[in-house]
Amino acid sequence: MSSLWASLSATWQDSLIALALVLPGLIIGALTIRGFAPWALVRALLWRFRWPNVMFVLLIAASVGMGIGLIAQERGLRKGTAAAADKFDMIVAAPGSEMTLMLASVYLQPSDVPLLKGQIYNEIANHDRVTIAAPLAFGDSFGGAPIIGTIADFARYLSDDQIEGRMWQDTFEAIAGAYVPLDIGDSFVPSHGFGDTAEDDAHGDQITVVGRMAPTGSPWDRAIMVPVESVWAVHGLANGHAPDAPVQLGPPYDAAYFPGTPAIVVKADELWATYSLRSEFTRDAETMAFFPGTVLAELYAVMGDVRQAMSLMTLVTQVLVATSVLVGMFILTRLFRRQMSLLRALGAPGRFVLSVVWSYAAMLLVSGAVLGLGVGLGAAHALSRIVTARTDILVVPQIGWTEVHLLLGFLSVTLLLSLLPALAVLRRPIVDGLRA
Amino acid sequence: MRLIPALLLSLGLATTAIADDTHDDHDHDEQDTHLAVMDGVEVLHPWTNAGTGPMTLIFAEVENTGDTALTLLGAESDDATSAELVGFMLKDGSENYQVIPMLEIAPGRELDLAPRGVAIRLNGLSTPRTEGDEIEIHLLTDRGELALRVAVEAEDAMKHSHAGHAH
Amino acid sequence: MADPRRLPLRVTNLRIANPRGRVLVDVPDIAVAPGEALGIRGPSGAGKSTLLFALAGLIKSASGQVVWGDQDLLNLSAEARTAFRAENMGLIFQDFLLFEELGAAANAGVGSFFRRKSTRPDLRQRADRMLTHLGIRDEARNVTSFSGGERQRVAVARALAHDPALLLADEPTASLDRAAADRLVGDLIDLTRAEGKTLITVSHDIALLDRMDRVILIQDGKLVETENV
Repeated sequence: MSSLWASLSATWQDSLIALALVLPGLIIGALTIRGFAPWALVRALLWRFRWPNVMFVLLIAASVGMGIGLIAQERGLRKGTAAAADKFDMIVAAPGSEMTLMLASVYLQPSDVPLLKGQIYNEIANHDRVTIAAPLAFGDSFGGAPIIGTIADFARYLSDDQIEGRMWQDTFEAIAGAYVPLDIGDSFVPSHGFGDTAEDDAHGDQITVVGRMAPTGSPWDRAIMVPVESVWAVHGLANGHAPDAPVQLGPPYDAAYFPGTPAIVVKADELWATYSLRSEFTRDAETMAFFPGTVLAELYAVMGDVRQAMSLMTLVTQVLVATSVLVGMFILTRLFRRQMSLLRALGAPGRFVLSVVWSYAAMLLVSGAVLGLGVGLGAAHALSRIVTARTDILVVPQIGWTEVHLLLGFLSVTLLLSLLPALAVLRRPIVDGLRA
Repeated sequence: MRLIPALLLSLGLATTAIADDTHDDHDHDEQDTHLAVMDGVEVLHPWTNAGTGPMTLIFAEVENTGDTALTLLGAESDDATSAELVGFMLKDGSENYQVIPMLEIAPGRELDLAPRGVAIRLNGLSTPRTEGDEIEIHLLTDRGELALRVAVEAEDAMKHSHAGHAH
Repeated sequence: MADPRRLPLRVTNLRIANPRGRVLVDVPDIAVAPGEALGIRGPSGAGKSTLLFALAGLIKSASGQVVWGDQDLLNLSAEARTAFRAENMGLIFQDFLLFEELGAAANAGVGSFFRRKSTRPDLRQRADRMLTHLGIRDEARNVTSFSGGERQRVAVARALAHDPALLLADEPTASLDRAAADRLVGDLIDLTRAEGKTLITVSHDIALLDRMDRVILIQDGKLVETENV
């Protein structure tokens, strides 16, 4: 049985779980309503008590929406941060914190880290299995946009070769990220440092934008990429090439004139080779090689605990709402106690009264849940826009199976619980109800 | 008078040492669980998580002590219908393992098969694994096969319970 | 035309007490023949309505016997009493008790919502015929816009839509003005007499009581007097 289950695709498993979750509610509904036509009366009740009903639906929608919105947003954030790291298969750096290095290289949150020497760079760049070994040089900025020194191949790889204009051909040319407020042809003078502490005009060299990358959904959309030689030159360092060598940008570099790089982004020709390269460039006290994907996964695992706590809280919220829905149902059914007693007096079977009250509750619950789905999506979209605007990590919220399961489970439980107020209506003396 | 604390101290140390010995003895009784050696290949602490599903991942520290590059080609196990090398990937923000055809280990280098890295995946397992069990597998390399006795660790373990011990 | 379902009523030792033990109704014996029109009168709070509801099997705590034909309602389960009412009884209340959000036709045909599918068209047709007969036009209109007299006529149509043998009415004219009350009295008597139905009505309304075959007087829950009209 368990192997049969495991052999199903994830979509099938999710669909079956969804079905299993919603089935109790549907079965209860079918058993309750079978053979009756309660809808005209349900419509009448919905209309008669429309304001309490609207309040009820809104209460359900708000709570369901919050739960769904949080889960969808968390997933969107996870996917967004992962997508931003997609192109960063492996990073080699001096031993230290993988997290710090990942934040610096992938998300452009620079911090001071030790540099790797030219010898190491050349060893990596010349490895048979390596297709791109991109040095990254951070530290300068222009108007809040970080300036990253690297090589042309990496700029092309990062943008999937979607560069408007042309690639740099000179040390003082730049490729702007998609959302950098500079046009092709504009020139700027880099500031040393970043943010409030940036020193304007610390560097005198003018850099001209010659190309613009297509959006990548990552913080690199607000970065300016320049030849790494440019960053070195701006800081008065050697440019990576021997003084007597012909002028060139990019590798090969001469180890003796290589000022150093805090990180090297490595792409291998095959996925498996990446893992081998990791073992090869993990060297005590010399280099550290890591996969941003793994660091993120570990981060998500920690977040996963938070997520579980959140899911639990969501569940508790749903239970609380279900309880208040139930209490509300008891109160609402008192409002139409007289109508229900009348039906009993006219000879309606108990199950018919049950079906009217239950269908009424079901209408409120289903409307609340459906509206809640909309509220949740809306909330997730709003949050995503804020996150994307602040971090440049493209966050696209989507409704996933977890939310669907949560919604259906909530519905099933509350539909089941709705039988209680319905049964309570039946227990009250008919004559008291008629005289109410 | 100084002798007494010194004696007590050494006694204390001795006790600790004895305790360590017992522990080590226990370890070395099953030494081949922890270390498998073949011509230029050392595999330390092969382990997997307890579980009931048809699939499990096996981790270990593989060291190429030879002079030439070592290639891991895959694995075989009587308990599983198939075994393969897999590598971790984040796909749409979700954890995912992809089949990889081989892994190269440069001479003198070590490759960690670890959670969220590379691993050997056994498929089609029919019996559940409980903590303390062992699974036998054969690691396939370009230098030949190496028999490994894989320790079953807790369901949520992230490393071998003896990881860090020197052997 | 006499109703084929002959259901004479025999009430024996009917006692109803409230939860605090006060006796609300204590009637040793009432008999009603099929097709008879019986009026129940008495001062307010005398237990007339309670007696009527007991005859309809709506009072759980009643003891004694309320035998319609050969069925003792007090011996039946709640669901069986409900089924008996659905089959044999029509009820009319002082304040109409209509579903305000529904039209006249839906109110008169409300029984179709909980009856077997096969019987629904018949019931609705009969309800419509009743409404037409009672002069209710514009059957889809919400009953909120109806006058009191019109509402009570819709309630009469509802009570008779399933063609019951027995019609039980609790102060049917009390909420109506004189003209509307007179018209309703006429309708009630015509419809029950024409189809040979038993009519039992609680009322203060002399005009209505005058049209009954027999009137009983209830005081402090006790049967005090029977008058043949």
